[in-house]
Amino acid sequence: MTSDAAAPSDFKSALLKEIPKLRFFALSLAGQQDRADDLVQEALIKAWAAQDRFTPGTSLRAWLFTILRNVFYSEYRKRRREVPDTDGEEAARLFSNPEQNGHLDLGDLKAALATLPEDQREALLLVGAAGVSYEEAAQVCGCAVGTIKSRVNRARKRLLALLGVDSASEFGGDYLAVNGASAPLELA
Amino acid sequence: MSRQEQDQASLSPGASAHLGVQLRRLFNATADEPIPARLTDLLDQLEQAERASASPPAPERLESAAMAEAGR
Repeated sequence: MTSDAAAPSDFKSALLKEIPKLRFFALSLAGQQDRADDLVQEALIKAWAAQDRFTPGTSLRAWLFTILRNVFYSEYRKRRREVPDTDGEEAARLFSNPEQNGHLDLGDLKAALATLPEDQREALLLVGAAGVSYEEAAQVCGCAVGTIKSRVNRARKRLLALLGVDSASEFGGDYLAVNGASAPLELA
Repeated sequence: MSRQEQDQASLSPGASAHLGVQLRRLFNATADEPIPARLTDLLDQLEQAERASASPPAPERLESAAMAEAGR
């Protein structure tokens, strides 16, 4: 056992564990990593102050995501009133952290994601990318589980059409490798 | 068959899997990064502030009290 003063609280450890997913969700909302981390920072401060209001046994993840989302939309709406933003600019900002653009060829995916309606993109990124459960995503977005499922499905179909991956002729070896795998990855 | 199931059925499994892999890659690009120091520092500060203000006894304080009791 380490020295008693250094032992982190359970709540702190639980928050730390959720930070990678929180950062991703924040990035999907804010577009840029530094702004996303501002959002995470503010959400953590609010969560810490409100920790007595968290119901043990419920999903901490859904609770944190909801706080972060509320922070974003309250600020976003404010900013939108101040600086009108066109869809084009929004799209260009999506996932625009430089580290990601260097070594990963996800440009097409990002561009396609940027064209999705906001609610569909959010549902797909929560469930299909971050691995958040349908139930948690429904709690975060304040809607029914069935609504999340239908948003995810519509988002997938639209992305597949945009990326041209529903026509087999346009696939390269990457597709064949995935398709040929014995256990196809579940999209969740 | 519900509308949802029809939606699901119309996606080819290979194409869905391909998209799934790409989405996970996008996620991992952020999730695999080390947590920025400003966020871990923030949690340290919040924790210190909470411990400094004599709030209700934390579990480990109860634990050490119990250990002192047992040591008697």
